[in-house]
Amino acid sequence: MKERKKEKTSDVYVRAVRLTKWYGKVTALSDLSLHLEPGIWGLLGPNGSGKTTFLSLVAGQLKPSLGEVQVCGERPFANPNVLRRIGLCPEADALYDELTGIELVTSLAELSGYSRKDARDRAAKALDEFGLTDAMERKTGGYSRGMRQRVKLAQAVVHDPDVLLLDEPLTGTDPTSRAVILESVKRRADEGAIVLFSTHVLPEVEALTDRVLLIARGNLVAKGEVHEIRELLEEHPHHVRVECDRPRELAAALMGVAGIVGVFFPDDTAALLQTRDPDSTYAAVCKVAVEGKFNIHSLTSPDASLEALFHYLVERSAHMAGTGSDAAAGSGIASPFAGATKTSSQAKTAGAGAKP
Amino acid sequence: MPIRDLGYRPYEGERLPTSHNMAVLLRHGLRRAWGSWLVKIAAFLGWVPTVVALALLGLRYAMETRGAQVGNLDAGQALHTLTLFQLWPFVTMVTLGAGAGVISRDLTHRAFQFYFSKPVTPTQYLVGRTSAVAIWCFFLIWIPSMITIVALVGTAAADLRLERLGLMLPATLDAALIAVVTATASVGISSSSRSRAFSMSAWLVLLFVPHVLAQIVFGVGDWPWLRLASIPALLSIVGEALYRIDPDSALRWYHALPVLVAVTAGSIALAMNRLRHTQVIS
Repeated sequence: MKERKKEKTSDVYVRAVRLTKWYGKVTALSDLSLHLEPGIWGLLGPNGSGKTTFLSLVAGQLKPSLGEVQVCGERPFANPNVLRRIGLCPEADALYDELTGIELVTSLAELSGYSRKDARDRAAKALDEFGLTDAMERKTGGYSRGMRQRVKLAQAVVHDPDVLLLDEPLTGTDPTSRAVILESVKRRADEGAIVLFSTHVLPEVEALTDRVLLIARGNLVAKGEVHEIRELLEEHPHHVRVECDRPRELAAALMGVAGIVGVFFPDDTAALLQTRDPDSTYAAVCKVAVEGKFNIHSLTSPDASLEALFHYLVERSAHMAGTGSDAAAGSGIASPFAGATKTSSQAKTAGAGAKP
Repeated sequence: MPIRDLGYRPYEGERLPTSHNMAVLLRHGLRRAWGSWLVKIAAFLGWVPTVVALALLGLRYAMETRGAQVGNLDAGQALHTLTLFQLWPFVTMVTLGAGAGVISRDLTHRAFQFYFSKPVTPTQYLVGRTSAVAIWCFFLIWIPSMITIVALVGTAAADLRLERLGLMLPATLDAALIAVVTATASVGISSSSRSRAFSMSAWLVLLFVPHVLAQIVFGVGDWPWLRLASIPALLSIVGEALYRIDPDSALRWYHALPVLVAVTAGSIALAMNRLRHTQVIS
C-alpha cells in the first residue's frame, strides 16, 4: 500500500496556469493558477461560479480559451494517455436507460483498456462498492436518482484513476449512501490519488477534508486549508464565543486586551468577542477566567467553520466585483492563498480596501 | 465494508491499446441499433423480398421441370432488383433508426461526458458508431443476396451454375458499397444537429427528394444527370455495373462512383469536424 502510494504520488498532480475559459461573451473561469497534489480537495463556490467548467477543463472535456491545464504532466484535452488516469463523475444525470448497471459500467471500463472479463469483474466490484450489487442487472432507466448517482460514481472509479473528479457527487443520495461515497473517496485519496469534488453540502466537505478551493465568479478566491485561509483574512475580525455564568463581567474584564475590537451578547449566557488576534484573545480569556473565577462552559470560534468562511469569501468577492475591483477580486485576493507562501503582509496588501 | 475486504486490488496488469475502443463502441452500437424499433422492423420484414424471390424461383423451376417455356432468367438483374427492394425500405429504416440520429442522440443524452472522459478519440468513436450501422446494412443486403444466389445455383442448368456462383463477388461488393455509403452519410448527417428529429428528417429529405426530382426529370425530359444528386440512384448505377446490366441512360459507374466517394468523404469530414471541436458542456 505504501509502495503504491509512493509510486502513484510521484507524478500525480494537477496544475493550472492562467487558466481561462469563456463561452461567447461569458467568462466562466478567469486567470486561474494553482497546483494540486494528492489528497482530497473540496471545490466550493456558488451556482454558476465556474466549478463545473474547472472540472471539465481538468477532465479534458473542454479546451482552455487561454492558459493551460496539466494533469500528471500532460494536457488532458483529447489525450488518451491522461484520460486513462482520470475518473469523472459528471453532474448531469445522463445514462443509457436501456443498459443495465453492470453493462454500462463494463462498457465504460472496457473503454479504459480492460479486457471484457476484467472490465466486468471490475464493474461488479465498483458497483458492489457503492451498494448496487442487487440492482446491477436491472436497467438503469428504472433506477432512482440516488442509484443513478452511484452508477456514475462506479464508472468514475472502475479503472482505478489517479485523478478523481466528482461534480456534486452527493446529489440525491441518502445518508447511508453518502457515508459509503465519502468512505470510498477517503480511501482513494489515502492510496495517493487526487480527489477533487465539488459540492454545496459544506459540512460534508468539512468532515472529509480541510483543504478547499473556493471559486466565485470564475475567480479562484481561496485555496488551502480552512484555518490557514482564515488566519490570512486579518482585516476580517475573528469571533470568539465564550459561554459562561457572567458574560458581561467577563467582557468588561477583557476590554483592555489588545486585538479585541468589539463585544456582543447574543444571549444571557454568552459573550461574542470580535478580535483581530485570536491567539492573544484565547490566552486572555483563560487568564481572566482564572483570576476572576468565572465559570466558563465553552470557548468556540463560530466563524472558523467552512460555512462561515465560504459565505464570507463569496460576499467579499461580490462586494469587490460590485465596486469595480475585479482585478483585486480576481488575482489580488486569490494569489496569496493560491501561492505556496502565505504571509500576513501579502494578505493585508491583497485585502486592502475590502470590507468584511 | 472496505473494498479491500471484498477482494479489491489495484489493477497492475497491462491495459489494451486504445484501438480496442473501436470494438467496444461497435459492440455497443450494434446493441443500441437493435434497441430501435425501425431496425427491428427491418430485421423481421427484411426477409419478405427474399421469400418472395425464392417462391418465384421455385415456381419457375417447377414450370421448367414440367416442360413449360419460361425464357432465360437474368440472374444479375434479379439480384440487382432484390438489392433495390432491400435498399429502399429496409436499409433506409436501419439508417434512419440507427444512423441518422446516433450522434445527435449522444449529444442530447450528454453521453459525450462519459465517452470523452475515457481514452476515446473522435476517430475511434466515429469508426465504432458508423461500423455498427454499416454492419446492420451490409447483412440486410448480403444475406438475402447469398440465399438467393444459392437458390439460383441450385435451380440452374449445370452449365450455368458456375457463372451464377460467380455472382457472389459482385453481390458482396454491392452490399459493402451500399452499407459504407449509407451508414457514413447517415451518421454524418446525425452530427449536423443536436436535434435528433432534425437530423433524421434531413436524412430522409436527402434520400428521397433528389431521387424523386431526378426520376421526374429523367422521365419527362430524358435528362439523367440530376440522378447524380440521388444517393440511391448512384448506388443503383454502380450496382448495375457490378452485375453487368446494361444501363438505361448515359450515366455510367465512373460518373457515379466519384460522387459516392465524395459523399462518403464529406460525411466523414463533417462528423470529424463536429467531434474534434466538441467540448462537453454539462
